[in-house]
Amino acid sequence: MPQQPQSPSLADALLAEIADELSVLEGDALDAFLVEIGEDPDRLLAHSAAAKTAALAAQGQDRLRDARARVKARRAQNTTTIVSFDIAKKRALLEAIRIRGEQTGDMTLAARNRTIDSEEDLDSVLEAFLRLGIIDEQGEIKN
Amino acid sequence: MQTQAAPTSEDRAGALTALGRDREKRLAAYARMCSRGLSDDGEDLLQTAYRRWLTAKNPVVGPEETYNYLMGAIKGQRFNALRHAGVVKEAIGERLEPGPEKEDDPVDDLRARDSSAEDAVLVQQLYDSAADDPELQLLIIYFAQETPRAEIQQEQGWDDQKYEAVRKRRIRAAAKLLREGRV
Repeated sequence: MPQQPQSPSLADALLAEIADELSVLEGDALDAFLVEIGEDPDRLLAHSAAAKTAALAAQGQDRLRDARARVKARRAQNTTTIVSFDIAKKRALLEAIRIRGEQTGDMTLAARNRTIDSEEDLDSVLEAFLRLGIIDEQGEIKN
Repeated sequence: MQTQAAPTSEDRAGALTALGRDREKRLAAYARMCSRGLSDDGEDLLQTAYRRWLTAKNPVVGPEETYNYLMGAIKGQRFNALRHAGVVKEAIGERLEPGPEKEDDPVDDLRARDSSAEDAVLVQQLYDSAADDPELQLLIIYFAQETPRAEIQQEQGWDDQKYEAVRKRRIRAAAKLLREGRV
């Protein structure tokens, strides 16, 4: 059986009355009301400003976190094609990058001499080349 | 039909700046009163209301509409916090189960009992605070008994102006008690 909606408590009813009263007061009359109930109007303004600043800062942090998550998701998505190559194709791609790097002098000695012991190592190196913009997500070497 | 572009985050932030001093004072005062009995203070409630506004999807119209949204957001937080407190009390405090013939939520029973006890304390505090104002004390008793305005005016012979004057004193007395955290 559906319940009857509960009637508001007296405290809630009083808060509603106070909200109505506050909403019609302006300027000096509002300040006088606030002082009468023990509030400092300037302090209330300071509270509001602080809350606003904090809310805007939090919104900025949320945006940065979202942007980071989007970049992370994009990176994860972009590597899918390269990681799915068979190992021979991955090795051929790495060799092609090495040759291109030697021709152009773009590849560092450390990168040229890096030891590839496993397919995971190969994936990591190719993902790094993708992030550096040396290859695209289809495994094509960029000019 | 022309479609209106959705407000940008700059529009929403701008609407907070456009509230003006009076509305900001009202919001801060109301948030402080609503925070009584909650773990969050008034500034927390206000900050959350501002954050909700910044991420809301409703259109940005004008300062009065923004103000109404924010007042509602503050009130909503109080309602949810009190409801949550009731649920927690039911879970870790009093163990309540519905009777075999009852379909009512025991949390609502508990809340009703708590609310009734709090109302009794509130009425007592309000009544005591109006010791030097017999008219206000009368109106507090009527208020506690939820007596309709027309009936009060008839019994006391108060015209509208008189009733409003005493009612405003009741609002101030209640606001003062809430502000002092005595409720």
